[in-house]
Order: sequence, then C-alpha cells, then structure tokens
Amino acid sequence: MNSNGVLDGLDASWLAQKSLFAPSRPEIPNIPAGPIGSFAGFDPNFAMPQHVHGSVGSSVIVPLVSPTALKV
Amino acid sequence: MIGFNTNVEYNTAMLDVASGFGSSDITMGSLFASAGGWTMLSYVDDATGHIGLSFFTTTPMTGGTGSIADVRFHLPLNGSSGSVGLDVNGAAGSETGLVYTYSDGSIDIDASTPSIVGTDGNDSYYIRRTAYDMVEVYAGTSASGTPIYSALLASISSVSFDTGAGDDQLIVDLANGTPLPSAGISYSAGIDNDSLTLTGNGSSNAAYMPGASSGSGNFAIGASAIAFAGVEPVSASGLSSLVVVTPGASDVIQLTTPQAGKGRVSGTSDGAAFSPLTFFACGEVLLDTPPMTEQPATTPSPSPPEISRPSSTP
Repeated sequence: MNSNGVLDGLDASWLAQKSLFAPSRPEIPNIPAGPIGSFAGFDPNFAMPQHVHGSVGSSVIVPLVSPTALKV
Repeated sequence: MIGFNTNVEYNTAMLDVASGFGSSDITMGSLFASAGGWTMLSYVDDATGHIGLSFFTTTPMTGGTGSIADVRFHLPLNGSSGSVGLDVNGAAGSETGLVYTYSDGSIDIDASTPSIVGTDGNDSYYIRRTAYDMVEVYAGTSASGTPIYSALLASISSVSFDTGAGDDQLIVDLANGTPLPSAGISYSAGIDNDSLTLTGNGSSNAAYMPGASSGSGNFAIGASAIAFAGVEPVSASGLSSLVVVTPGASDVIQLTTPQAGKGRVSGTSDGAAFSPLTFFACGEVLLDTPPMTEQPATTPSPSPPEISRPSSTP
C-alpha cells in the first residue's frame, strides 16, 4: 500500500485512516459504496437516543445503540 | 470478516467532541466490548461536526442489543438552551440485501443549570453578583480578567461546581448581594484539601449547617444555599449574623482563635467531625446546638471571639 514491497504496520495505519476519512489517503482507491460482509438475520438499525439531558458546561455520553439484535 | 461504517453529524456551535483519529471522547460500547473480537476505529472532525466510526470483526457474535459505541459530547459553558440533533447515517444496505436504517438522536441543552467542571489540579473559582443582577464566575480568586461564565441571575436556577481532585477553592462574594440562584450552588470539591469562602458586605445573614458526613453540609444565605461536599476548611466574613447549626444530637464543640481577630468553630456532632469554620468581621456569631447535650469547649483559646446562643433557629 505504501509501495515499499512489504505489508507492514504503516499499511495498516493508512488503511485505518482511509476507512474513517477517505480524503486522508488518496493513495488508496475508494471502495464501492455499501458495508462489507453482512449481518445474519434482522436488518440492522443503528440509533442514538433522543432528548438526552445535559447542562451547559458539562458533558454527556450518548450511546450509539443497536436496538435490534445484531448477529454475525 | 464483517464490518460496517456509521457516521454521526452534530452542530459544532452547540457541541464539542475531541478531534482526531482514536478520539478520547469515543469508546467502544458495552455490546461489542462484551462480545469480544470487535475492533473500532474512530475519526472526529470537530470543525465540521463529523464523527466517523468503523467496526470490524472476524469472530462470530451470537446476537444482542445495546451500545456499540459511546460518544462523549461536551456542552460549552456559555451555550444556550435548546435541542440539538445527532444525525446518525451510513450506507443504505449491504450486498446481501440487508437494509440498514438509522435513527437520529438529540441532546436537550439546559442553560439554566450551568456546570463548571474543574481539573485534577488546583482549581479556584470566584462567583459574584454584579450591580446589574448578573452572575459572574471567574477562574481565580478575584473578579479580574474575563469571567468564564456570566448570565442573568433570574435566568438560571442553579450553578454547580465539580472541581475534582487537587486543592480547590470556591469564593462566594456577597458584596453586591447574593449570587445564589433559587436552587442554590452545588460545590462538589472532590478529594484533597478544598475550601469554601464566603465574603459578605456586612449586611448579609448566613447559617453554616455542616452535614452528618465529614466535609459536607450547607451554607444557607437568604432563601437559598450552597450545598457542599468534600470541603475541609470553611470561612465566612463580613456577615451581619452567622449561625452555626450542628446536625446531630450530641456535640463536642471547640471555640478557638487561630489568629488575632478570627474565630474558629470545630468539633464533632454525633461523633462525626465537621469541617471547621473560621470567621471574622461578623456582627454576631450564634451557636445553635441541641439542648441538654452541648458540652463546653475542651481546649479554649486565650481569647475566643464572643459567641452567643440564639433564642431560636433562623
């Protein structure tokens, strides 16, 4: 990936960066749209709760949840 | 191997998240953490309000519901009340025909209950009321520089200080009247040696009411109070009247003079030590202890300040 002829840690780092922010690694072509692999069973849903209360100056932790059963 | 990407978009004017790869504000959720085998990668661009999450695993998971990632959002201290949306999005489906759906979240921001959060170092905060009925909070021991927080007193219901570890101090200045909102001030001082200082203008009345557990209690001023925990020395000055109200049925009270012109009340109530109170420049100091059980000072100093007992609890 980094053209040094071997698969090393730098390749892994570049790949991780590409997966999160595609423009950060133009050396790597974009993958086709859509998730890779698949879940088994139900269609996945990902959600965050609504109306989480927080005061100015504080911080709140909001979970990204799977309200339907994920199975792989 | 299976993997998927999910994004969250948020309003940068109302929320903050630590930027970069592997943001410190994002952790793997309990569902994937407990299942094991999952790897999570994160990227946050706080300038644009984008969170990118990537998950992959080579280990089968039997199934389950719950959190796959936890995101800590910081609410700026001078933000305004309102609801801010959290746009959860990603690909619409997989090559195997599964349909992916996403449900947005939201955070309801409450500007009437500001929270000042300190560090694990030594934090000092100074709170006062201005001549224009504003509440101002400064980082430091006086009203110098730019306040870190200000608001109309009538627009807030409480103020909380969570100062964490370190030798912290909170100074409450009553010179222009009480800065306490209707629901008061909460001061959670954490570990180490933390102090609470009350400075009046000679006309305010206050009641020091230590709690049953050491370091906790209330300082009542007018119809409101400062609720504190983890506070060791407490001091008050410039009050017209100061009442000390012990919480228990059996007290051992010591009255001493730590230095000229200053008095100190310390001791135990029902066997639990309460935070000593140092006072000076007060018109009167009243000691309100349970009847029949109070004991005289065991180690009086040569010239303790004059203390009298009130005829009734204020």
